[in-house]
Amino acid sequence: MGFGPMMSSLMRNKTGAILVALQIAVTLAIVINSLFIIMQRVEKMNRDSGIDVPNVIITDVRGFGDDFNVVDSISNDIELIKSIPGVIAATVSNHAPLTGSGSGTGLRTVADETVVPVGTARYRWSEEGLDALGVELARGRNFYPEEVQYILPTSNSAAPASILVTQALADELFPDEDALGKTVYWGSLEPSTIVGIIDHMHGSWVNWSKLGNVVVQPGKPAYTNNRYIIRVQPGMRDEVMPLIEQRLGESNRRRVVKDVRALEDIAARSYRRDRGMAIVLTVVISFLIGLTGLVIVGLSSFHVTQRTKQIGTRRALGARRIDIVRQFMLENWLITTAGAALGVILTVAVAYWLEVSFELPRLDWRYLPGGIVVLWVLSSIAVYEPARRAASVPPAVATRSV
Amino acid sequence: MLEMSRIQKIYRTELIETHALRDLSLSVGDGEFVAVTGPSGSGKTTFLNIAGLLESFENGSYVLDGRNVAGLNDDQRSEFRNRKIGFIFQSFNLIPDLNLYDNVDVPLRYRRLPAAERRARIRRALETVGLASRMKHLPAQLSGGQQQRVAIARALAGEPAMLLADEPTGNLDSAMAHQVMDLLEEIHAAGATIVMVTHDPDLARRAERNIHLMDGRVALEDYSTGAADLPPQPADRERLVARA
Repeated sequence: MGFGPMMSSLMRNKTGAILVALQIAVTLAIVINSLFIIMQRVEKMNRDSGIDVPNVIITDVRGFGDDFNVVDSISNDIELIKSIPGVIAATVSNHAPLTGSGSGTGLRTVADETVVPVGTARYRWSEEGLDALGVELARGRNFYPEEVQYILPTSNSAAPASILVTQALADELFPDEDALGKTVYWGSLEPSTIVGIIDHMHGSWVNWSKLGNVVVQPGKPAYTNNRYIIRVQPGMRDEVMPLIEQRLGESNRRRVVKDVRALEDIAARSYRRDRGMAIVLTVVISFLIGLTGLVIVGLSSFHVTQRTKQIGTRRALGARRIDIVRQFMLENWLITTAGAALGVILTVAVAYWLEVSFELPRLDWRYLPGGIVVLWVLSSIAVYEPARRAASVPPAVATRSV
Repeated sequence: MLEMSRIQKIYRTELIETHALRDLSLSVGDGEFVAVTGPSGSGKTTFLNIAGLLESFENGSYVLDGRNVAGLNDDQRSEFRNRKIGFIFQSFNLIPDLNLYDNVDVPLRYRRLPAAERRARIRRALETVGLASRMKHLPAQLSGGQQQRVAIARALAGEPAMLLADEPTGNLDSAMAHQVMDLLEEIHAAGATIVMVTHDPDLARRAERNIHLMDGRVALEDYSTGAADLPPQPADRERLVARA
């Protein structure tokens, strides 16, 4: 049957066709926007943190008792950890990246309280901190050992002379010039000099838009609760973790080992909402695509049953089996295309609403042709079996009286 | 035109075999108007289906317009049917969603004729049946007789070698039935070969020859007096055709 007669035939039986087209339009709008959100989440989870996440171990310890010597404890612990085979580097730190907890601050390029500071995550670690996280120093230098002092609760909280910043923070502080060697000012307007630029490193809060902004002060935080960042050789992590717990536990009865965890697990927990969202949306998409396929199968099967006599007549008048299959496929293609056309409008409308209401990024238009092709393929697969059944209607049906 | 020899057709289920045609042999010449009659269950519809290549058969041979059709596959049968046979069904079998023009166009599209030729044929066929002015109407907007005339136009548009009519007036009142029969006679007078299956003896008498089926065999052949241009008649006008 030609395009024109097929269109006029569809228009005379439009209820079913319109319902399927609407279903396809809604499916397209939901699938494309959901897929876009899923891809955003996947990209977010898979982005490079700049840290050697698979090989980093985070250990939390807590000292107790009046005579607990925190400096000795930390010093001994770090030496003990570094003596375990497979350990590359270890440092005490105030926080660990990608954990969801940390401290932040604001830096200015001028000593003026009226200037809006640039927000950043803040860490304190020793000269082994870079090695302990596996991050690269792009330019400048690392901390000298003599710059790294224990920071006790009673210590002077004066700003350090030297700091490291990530390239992202450096670019935001000094967009038009090299940040290396420049002075920045803390909230107290005390100055520090940037002595090194870290190529790339994520901070603590994975949902923060300035996740790449990190400033590092030299220091060994020495409190009751302390956190060690330890990096091991590739493949050694699971072997080393129980050894750390065992050896630290045996070495000092005045402090307890609270937790020994892989940074990979901690980071995965930080991204659990993103992962959950991606899984839920994938299930919704799968369900919706399956449902749409079933609707197409159902309507096509109904049409085959409804038009058995007509199909037999067409066969009697000279239609080959392939002509019947082609007719059903083409009818379905027309409905799908009409639904897809409506779906494109709906998709853009939903995307705009998501963008305005939830500050999602603008929908990448390339998802549209991809979604349409997927629906064409889906509907073609869904209609094929009913179409094949239609083609098997014998031409002798035309001469039957019922 | 049509030459069947010792055709057998058996319908089988798990429990029974039904011999619908038993060594059926008959022929129809070019330009003949033949009526095939018989009581219910005599094999009329099976004969029609096999003659129209709508069904296959077990044994025997069938030559249509010079071609043995026994070895044709499904696609070849479809194409051959499209080119050689024009069907007129008892229930008209028009496609209700298509207007008259598109209904007549259906077999022509399957033949992949050029659009201009299809247009000319459709117009000519609808003019022949007197419905050219209503080509944009839907079948439901026509009377039963008019619908059957559209079906005849559809059969004629393909310029087939043979028209196969299955109880063409079965769903019509007597006045409309007469109109349709008049039209078939006109078409026959213009040279068409027509094979009409009917149980109505009055209609059968309007054909040149009446083949009576009984139990899947030809029981009787009768050269009718009703037609205007009868072929030479045998002396006894009637002859019993005994078949094994």
